[in-house]
Amino acid sequence: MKVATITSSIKKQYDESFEKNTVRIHPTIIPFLTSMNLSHSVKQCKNIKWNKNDIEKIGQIQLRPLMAPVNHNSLDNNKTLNIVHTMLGNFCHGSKDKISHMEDMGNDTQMFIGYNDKVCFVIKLFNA
Amino acid sequence: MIRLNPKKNQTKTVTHTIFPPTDDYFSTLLSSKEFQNLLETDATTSIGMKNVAEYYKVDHIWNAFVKGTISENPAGEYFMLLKIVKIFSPNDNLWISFVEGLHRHAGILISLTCSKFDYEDNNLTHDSLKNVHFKHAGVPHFKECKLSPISVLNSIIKKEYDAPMLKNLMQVQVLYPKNKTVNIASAMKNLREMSQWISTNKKISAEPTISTRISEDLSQILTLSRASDRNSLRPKFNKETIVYQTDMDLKSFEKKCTAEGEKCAAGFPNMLTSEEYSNYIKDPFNMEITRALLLKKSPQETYTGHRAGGRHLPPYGISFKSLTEDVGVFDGKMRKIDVRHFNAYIIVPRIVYTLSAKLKKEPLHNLLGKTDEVQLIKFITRYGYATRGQPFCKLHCAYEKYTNNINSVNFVNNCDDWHRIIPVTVFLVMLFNACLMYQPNEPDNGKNLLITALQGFDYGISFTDETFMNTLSKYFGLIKLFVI
Repeated sequence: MKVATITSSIKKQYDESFEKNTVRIHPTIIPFLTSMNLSHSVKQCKNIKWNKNDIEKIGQIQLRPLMAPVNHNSLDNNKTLNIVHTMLGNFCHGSKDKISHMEDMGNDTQMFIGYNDKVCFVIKLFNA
Repeated sequence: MIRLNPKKNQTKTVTHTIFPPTDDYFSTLLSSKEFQNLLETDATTSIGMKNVAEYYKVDHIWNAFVKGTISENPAGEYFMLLKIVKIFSPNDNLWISFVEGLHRHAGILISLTCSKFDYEDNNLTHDSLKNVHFKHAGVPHFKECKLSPISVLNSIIKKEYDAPMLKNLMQVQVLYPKNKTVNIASAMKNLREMSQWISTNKKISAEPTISTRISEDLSQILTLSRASDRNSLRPKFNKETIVYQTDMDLKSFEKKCTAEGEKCAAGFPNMLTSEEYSNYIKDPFNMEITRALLLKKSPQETYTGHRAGGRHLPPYGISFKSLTEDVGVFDGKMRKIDVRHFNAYIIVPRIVYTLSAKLKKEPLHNLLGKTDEVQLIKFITRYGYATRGQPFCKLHCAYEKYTNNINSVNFVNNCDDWHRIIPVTVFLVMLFNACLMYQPNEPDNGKNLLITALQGFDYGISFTDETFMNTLSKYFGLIKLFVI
């Protein structure tokens, strides 16, 4: 009889809990799908009305990305900046003779999606 | 939800819902043409930005902002669109988190917003990323460049500069809960576990082989002493002695140990029970601890002349004299240790940890100081290497006591699984010492043929860790050995 190890039981629960689907995403869409908090200068209220004068004020609002605790790892700032440098085409690489990171991605990305019913349209800018 | 960019004590969390209004919402959404078009849109082009604004139902705001003009700063426009979506969209329901590819996720966010995004603030501030941030992050072969990240990003968006990681579609596996009955806390815990395993497996498969790791360890040990000293000085071990082990059963040995104490009964050197050595075997890769041991325990005197004011550090070269007249008068039982023993005391702990980490498939730092490894090191240094009288291939009975192995193993080549570390370590130490003999022309930066051989083990052939361990731990022609 097959032994049920911790690994196999977690894998079984994982298979039972999640549907899997493979999609192709353009990297420039990823920020729009990332959950973000807005800076504290924005106050929430119920009835937002778009005001053309708010365009300039939008610039002062800051976005704060969030993630669900689904990854065992935590972000390493230096590692991320190395990846960013590669994404931007290794433009600060100073030696033609030395190797640089490959400017291409593997296919081993996996993401979890959720549905947030509290979307941002209940926010009013600079509620005085 | 937690900050993407972590703080040490992350106390504030934001709660988001996970489950959609209906169980088939995600499957319908992912298969809809409209959503697929959105996912594959290049949101940095003017058409792409328009499509995104329409999908998120903020096109009236977006149109008021762009006013039909062509901007010289498309990266700025892209960031503005992101803000408008995040502030005003009534359709921004879907959120993502990367189970695999966390750094890539953060990398994409930072690249496209040109934000410095450090640990202090979790803000994405457009155009705050500068070249100096790459310099401080230790980008390899960094050279100051006239281009700034924002100018590079604008060139990428305008297709004047090639950047496949920001312009090519990426394939992603999407996970979502099957229905609302899923226990989401336990499901997320499972995701983290899976993420950890995938990461560990990747690291293991990308790790160097046993032979490469051991050759690196031995190379580092070789730098402790200079080649010229190794091949000219013969250290004096005045107080350190060993007693040759004889065949004995565990009961008699334990009785002897109870009566005399183990050190006295077994007769191993004082150094092996010293505080410095106990610290060393718990972390032999720590050079501070290694230095503390050697400054206290390595010999000051040599047969060939003093080194002014210092200790004579291992590894030591081996000569005919160092194995004969330097060990003193041998009464058939006790003798002084020789250079081979001291070399072994230094390299055995490193080899044991390296082999154990490979066989257990665990990160090496998790094993440092663990009972299994410490006990095995003690056994090999006290009873395993060059302390054995006849029969040479037999293991000392203390093996059972030190390793808690319930399977009685009499001969060294019968060790299996994790216990193969014993014969492999002993064999490697023997080879290392053998390669320290007769090297009068050794270059100053040191050379040991075992290291060279280990470095070349996996060139051109698939030499797995299992093959390495079996090859070095088994003697398949044992019967022939005894016949001869």
